[in-house]
Amino acid sequence: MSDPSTETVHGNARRRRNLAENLTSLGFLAPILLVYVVIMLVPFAQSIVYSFTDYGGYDFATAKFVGLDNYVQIFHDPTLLNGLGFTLMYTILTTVLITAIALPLAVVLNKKFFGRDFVRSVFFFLSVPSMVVLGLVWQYIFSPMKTGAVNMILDKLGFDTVPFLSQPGWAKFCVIFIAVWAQIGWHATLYLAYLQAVPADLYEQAQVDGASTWQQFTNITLPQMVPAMGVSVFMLLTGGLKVYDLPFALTSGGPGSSTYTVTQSIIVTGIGSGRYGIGSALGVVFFICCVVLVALQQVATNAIEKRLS
Amino acid sequence: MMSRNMKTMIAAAAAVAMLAPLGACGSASADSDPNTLTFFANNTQDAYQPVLDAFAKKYPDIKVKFSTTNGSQGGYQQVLQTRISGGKLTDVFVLPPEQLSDMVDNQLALDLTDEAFMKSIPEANKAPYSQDGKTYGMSVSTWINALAFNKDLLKKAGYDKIPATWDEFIDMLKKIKKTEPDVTPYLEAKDGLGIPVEGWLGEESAADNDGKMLDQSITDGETTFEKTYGPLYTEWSKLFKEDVMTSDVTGISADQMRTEFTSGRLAVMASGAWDVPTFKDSGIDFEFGTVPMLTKDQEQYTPGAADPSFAINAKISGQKLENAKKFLTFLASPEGLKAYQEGTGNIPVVEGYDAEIDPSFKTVYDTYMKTGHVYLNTLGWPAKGRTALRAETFSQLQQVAMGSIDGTTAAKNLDGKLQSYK
Amino acid sequence: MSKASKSKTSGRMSMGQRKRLHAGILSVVMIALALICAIPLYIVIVNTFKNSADMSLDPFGLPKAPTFENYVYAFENLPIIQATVNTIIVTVVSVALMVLIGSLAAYGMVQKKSRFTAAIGSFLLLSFVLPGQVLLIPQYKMESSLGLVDSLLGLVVLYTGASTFCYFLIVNYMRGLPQELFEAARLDGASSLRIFWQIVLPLCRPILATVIVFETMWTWNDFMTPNIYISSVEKQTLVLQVFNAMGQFTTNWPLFMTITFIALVPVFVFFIFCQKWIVSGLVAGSVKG
Repeated sequence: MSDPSTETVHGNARRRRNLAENLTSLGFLAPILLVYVVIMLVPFAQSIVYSFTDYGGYDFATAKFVGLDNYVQIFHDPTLLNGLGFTLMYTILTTVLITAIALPLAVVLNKKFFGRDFVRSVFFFLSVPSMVVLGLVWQYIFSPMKTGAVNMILDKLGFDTVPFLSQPGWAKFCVIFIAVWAQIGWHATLYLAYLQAVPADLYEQAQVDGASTWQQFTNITLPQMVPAMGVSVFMLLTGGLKVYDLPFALTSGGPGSSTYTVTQSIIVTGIGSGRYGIGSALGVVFFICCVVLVALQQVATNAIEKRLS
Repeated sequence: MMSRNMKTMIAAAAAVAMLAPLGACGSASADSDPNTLTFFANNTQDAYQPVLDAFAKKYPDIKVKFSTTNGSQGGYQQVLQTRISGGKLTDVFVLPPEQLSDMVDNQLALDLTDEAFMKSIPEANKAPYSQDGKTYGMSVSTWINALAFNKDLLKKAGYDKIPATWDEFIDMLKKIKKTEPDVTPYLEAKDGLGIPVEGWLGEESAADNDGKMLDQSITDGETTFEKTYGPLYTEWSKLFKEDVMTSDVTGISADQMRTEFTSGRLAVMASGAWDVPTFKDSGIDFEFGTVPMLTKDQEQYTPGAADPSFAINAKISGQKLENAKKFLTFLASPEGLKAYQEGTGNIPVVEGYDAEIDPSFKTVYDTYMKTGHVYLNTLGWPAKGRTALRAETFSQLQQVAMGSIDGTTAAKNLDGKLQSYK
Repeated sequence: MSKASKSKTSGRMSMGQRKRLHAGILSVVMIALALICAIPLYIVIVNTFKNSADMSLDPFGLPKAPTFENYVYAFENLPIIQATVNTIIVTVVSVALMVLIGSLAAYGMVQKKSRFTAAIGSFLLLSFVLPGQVLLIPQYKMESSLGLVDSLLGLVVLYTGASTFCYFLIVNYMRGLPQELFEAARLDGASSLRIFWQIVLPLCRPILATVIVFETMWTWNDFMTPNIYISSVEKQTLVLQVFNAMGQFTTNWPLFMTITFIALVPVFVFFIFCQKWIVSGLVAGSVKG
């Protein structure tokens, strides 16, 4: 019994309202789009152009178009593959370990106890000094020699010394260990902020029902923290894929090329050697790989969130 | 409501007030003043202060505006290049050899060949900064590697200096290891492995390659890393076969090595004149010795090269250019060199100038610097591949140290890497 | 036997006593853990009281003859005051801008769910995987052509690029807020801007505080950008003062650490001040009602 004309009127009105709302949103989004396009996307588009040239980083007018040469060369360079393996391993392990430690840590830091502010500040501050300084300090701690801090202790306790930074497996362990150490505090702080939005009555109800601390954690905290985990994991993934300064400061990519990362090859074989074309091409390939990985992560997170809500 | 709006307005006004000085900072510019020279260097302000002070005393009306970035080569080069891409090259700047050809091709550095101040610069220091017979940078000093040794530890093993040949050197390290089990006999830094190899290469270059750099021949495809480096890397790997250096070396930085040495736990380390002040402060009894050669009759060579040079921006002219030339002339003059050495610790090699040398460094200064027996393999490599290839040599030698590959394979892998820079 | 008696005693404890005991144990464990984790920071601080040779001799121990020479050097020879002022200006303006831009965008995103906004959202996320190193030269050229090189304003402009980071953190938090509150306000006829300012932002206080703390720390501490863009001494930020410790061949680590430490004290104080806002119970209360 519906009148087609009124339906169009309704449809038009809805469409108009829809448009108006979209426009309001666009108004709120305009500043960020401007900043994002000007500061990041336009430069990135420029470097995509560089990736098809032999640009050396000086005068672009003298650069020559080389087609896909840079891309062909990348896939012939075996050291890039070295970097890829460790970068992925680093990304996955730091993401898993930091999430597994930071979330419970945040729950504890949300409880009342003496010295809580101090403890929170210390954990947050671990990563603040520059990696150049922390790299040096950790080199002394994890020195493979008897005089390294950890080996000194092992030696006193009667154990054999460990080749921390001088054996590929141990060097990888050290890099990941330090990355976890440096970042748990910041991610715990993030979870701490999200914990404030969990309705307190959920816990009160659970306590009335006699749920244990562990049950409260798995039944209330974890599901409530899924959005926070999405954020934290996303940042760990993207940060991990781009990692450079920590392994570089600690091991310079060694021993051999065991802790070499993709970003290090962008810098060493490309930009740092005045080969901007190659460096840009590496950057583009890497960007595409990251987009694929991150898209997968987003799909996974959305699926989990949907199931839980 | 009113108060909230007021607060917002005050906050906004405060933000605007803070932005005002930001804009002002952008507009101030000294570039146009011909009596202000901008100077971009790869060392600290402290290192250049004596030069700047002495220059200001001599030329009170020329103001030098000093700027610097992190001293390590890589960092300086990247910042220099980025700034050039934006057209921000200073009037006078430090030119590293890696960037010479780019600078010349883009007409950024002034041709200094016929300038009066270049007359006393030795040929060896002009060569790395010359292209097609013209020189673009004035390098007044040279750096070299040498082996620092702890005199007390060597004495206990029955030695008073580093032996002349490699086999004797390894024997000495074995003795040190036997007599003092708690002492590490010898170390090189993980990102400076193979120091003796570079000395041996210099000798081969001079003796068997008509003075053409061996590494240049490799780059030109006349020979390979496998043929030239292979046997030398195998010699070097004796350190591990004879167990006088362990794979620990792949995890030890120059700073850690210095710690071992200054606390008397390390007998011999690869080092240079820059370590003298720290060694002296620590109170150990040390001296520098020469790099042991493979046979007794070989001339002695060590890794080293002309320090990064001073260059003038090709775009400046008139009074500013005159002032820039005055600055370089001053740098090459005895009073300038004295101040330069005092601040930077670099050793001037300008003809007619007698540099003051620390007694501990005298032997190696006489052996290498007076004769010009220094060799830097990277100078023979394609300019754009130097940084990456150098990193690759250390990566390969680390694998030799771990025993995962042998010296020949390491050299062969370098041949593969070189291919991607041709 | 003893086990039973123990459980009896604990059984006799009142709820409050048991809670206090728990808190006490927690205190001891957490403080101990924090101190262990802070050992590397201790090494940094302890070496600021040594000279190069002393640090080289013993990098871990307390200084045998504590020296303040590094601090004296820093305050006498380096433009610490000027650099601090520069750093404060850059940090305050940049962080204010990026948090404002980020939270505006986040609200724009939350207030209208459509395919259009979703597309913009994914588009903004790409910024997280852009390799920063390849943007270096294009960004420098851009700033140079605008005359922004070697100016504090130029740094601020680059730092606003981090707005996408703020946006991402804030938008996820906003999505978790009860949307009925916004709806109610809208039905009351409040404008979008007013809802944003008076309802949404106060509810986001914990995440805003987190973002502000993080961005302040990051901006304050950033070395790479000023290293490339700032060449005049009078425009240098605090972290750039470490140049004074980095020579051509060697680095004066004790001085390096001292400058790092001096530069970090203000952010540490700032964090202690801000953490109260991160855990302010405001949201929990309003949601409960």
